[in-house]
Amino acid sequence: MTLTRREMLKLGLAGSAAIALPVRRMVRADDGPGRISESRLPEPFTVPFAALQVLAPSRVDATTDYYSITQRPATAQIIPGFDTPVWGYNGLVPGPTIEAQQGRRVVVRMANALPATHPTLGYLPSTSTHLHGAPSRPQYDGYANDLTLPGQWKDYVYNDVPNGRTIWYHDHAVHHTAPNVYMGLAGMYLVRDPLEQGLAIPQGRYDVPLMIQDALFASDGSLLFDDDDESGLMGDVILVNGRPWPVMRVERRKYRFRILIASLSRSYRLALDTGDPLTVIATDGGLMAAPQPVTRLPASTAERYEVIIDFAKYPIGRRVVLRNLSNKNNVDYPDTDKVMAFDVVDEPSSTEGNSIPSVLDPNNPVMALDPALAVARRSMKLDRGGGQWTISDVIWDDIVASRFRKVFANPQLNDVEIWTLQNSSGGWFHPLHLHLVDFKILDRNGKPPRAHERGPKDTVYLGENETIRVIARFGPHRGRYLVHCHNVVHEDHDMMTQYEVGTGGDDPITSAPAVWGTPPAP
Amino acid sequence: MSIETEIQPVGSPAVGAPPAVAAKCSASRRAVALGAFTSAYAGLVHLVVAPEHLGHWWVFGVFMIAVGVGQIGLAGWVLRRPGTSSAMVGILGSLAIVAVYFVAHTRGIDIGPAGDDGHGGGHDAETAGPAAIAATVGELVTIGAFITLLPLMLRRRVVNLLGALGLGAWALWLLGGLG
Repeated sequence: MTLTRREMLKLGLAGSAAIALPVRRMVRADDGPGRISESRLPEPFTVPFAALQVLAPSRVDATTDYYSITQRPATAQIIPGFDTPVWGYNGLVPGPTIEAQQGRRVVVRMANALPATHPTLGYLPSTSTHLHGAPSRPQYDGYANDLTLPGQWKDYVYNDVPNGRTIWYHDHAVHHTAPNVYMGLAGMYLVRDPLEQGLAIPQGRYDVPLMIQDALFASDGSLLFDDDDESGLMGDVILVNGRPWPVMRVERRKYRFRILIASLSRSYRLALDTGDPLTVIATDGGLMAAPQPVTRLPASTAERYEVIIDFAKYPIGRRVVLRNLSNKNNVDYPDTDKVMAFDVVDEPSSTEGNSIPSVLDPNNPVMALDPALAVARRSMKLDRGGGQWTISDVIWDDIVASRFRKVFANPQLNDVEIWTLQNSSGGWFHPLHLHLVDFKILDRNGKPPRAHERGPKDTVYLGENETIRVIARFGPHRGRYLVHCHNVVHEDHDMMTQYEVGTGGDDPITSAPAVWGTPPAP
Repeated sequence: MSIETEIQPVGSPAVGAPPAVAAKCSASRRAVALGAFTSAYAGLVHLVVAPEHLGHWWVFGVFMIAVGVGQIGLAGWVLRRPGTSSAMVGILGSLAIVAVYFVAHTRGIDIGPAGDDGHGGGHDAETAGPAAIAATVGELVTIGAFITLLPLMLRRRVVNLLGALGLGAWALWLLGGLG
């Protein structure tokens, strides 16, 4: 007995739905319209550099600056001739820069006006905003499960940054940090303080934030999310402040560049094609004790380095290229060895702040931490097991399953501890980030930290088979804080754990939950 | 006449039967063989991917092993005792597994340790991998083969049910209900 034509039609309806609808999702997620051909990408150094937009506060009072930010879909012109759908803070990619003064309180009213689903991956875009590099209270720290759903908003209160530094805000939603950040949810946040402002280092228009990212584009200009089976997303286009391989016109003088690596996975090794040094003056947690000239600057995701480049030595008309020499375990493409170029076009219009003082900040308390102060020593092992990225054999879902009770460590408030971070797996590097605290790198593989790492840090590059010891004072708040790999693809799958400072801290999820509705003006 | 009396065990010739009945028996035997083969094949695929699912959550792994063993067992049962009962078990069982696959790869299934957020959010839909698609094709062929073994009235009802389910799935997609 065989099937009749009518039966075939009915069974075909069922069979086609069963096969085609799930496969349709796979095609959308993995292949999309296919990668854009290299010929459609711009030649490096043909797109003009653009400075990041600065966000003005909505309101200011005696103690507080109030900002309003809405996460919403927008269209950006990243690749010339193409419109790229993005999600931006206030529709901007990168997000608008917040400039804060140390000691003043900042309140950011953050609304989620994103659509119900990601355009290609199909998930519900809940968000959680982390001010990376600020010791925020738990409920304002962007805890991965403290989610703001589309249609909700939340006030984030920041008043704890102890000194001037280059930090950034970005999405931190559980399991979706990578695609959310990739869509554009990242922006810079500069904290200024009197010490930094009083130094004769480049300021004003000579103080230039550079947000460095990489991306893959589809043939229709949309962002292509290919995380290589959860190992990482390595783009073939290098973006600086949202522009592909831009060229910046500079004067013959010193410039201060606040470099943020905001790639999802790629790490960099920056160098000038002239062989001249980049002089590092600040790391994640602010100014170093003394400037550190380096000819090669390794930098991984979420690390910040403030460097001074002196263009005075070059004649007008000279082009200086900031190159990327890359690191082991990156996936490199023909033009990922270039970041941006500087065209020396003019004599200096100002000579103010045109020096590199030999002493910067000799009194940062983190850099004064001595191993003898440590009351505990712990080891953390980063690995891969059971198809997941793990931290000491724990994944974030284990934390969720424990109802957020499980912790890696429980230092008491203001305890000093030494943590040994170990990447025993070959084939991967992990930029490890501790929330809440700055730390000092004591040693890397038993040797003193590299020159550019001799400043306060919150994220450290952990190459394959490397072991690093760091020391930190755990405070200034009690509560639960995240520790994770800042290759955010690893973070999402599921290389994240938490520690708790003291007991009785604010709950990061329930203390200040998001609320429904249109946010009122702050 | 029920199917139990119509189908000869595989390998036993319909000796002396009229040509029409013999052809019918031959087609039924082919359907039994095809359904048994694709069921066993889908079962093997499930067993092969079981360790990976065990790594995610032991319940998923045990489920895959149970499905795999069940499908292989079904193949043996159908070959030994072809009939309405075994065919219906094969159809309903395969349909249930296809339904789980469909939901897991379109809407996501909200169980297991990978809850997306602390407020009870669900799992994302998984990407349909080659193994999952291969097993599902096998199960769909199993269903199609076993349907031909059913008595006419039951067969009509099952086919109508499957048509309605397919229509509903496509309608849900058109209305944006599948994300």
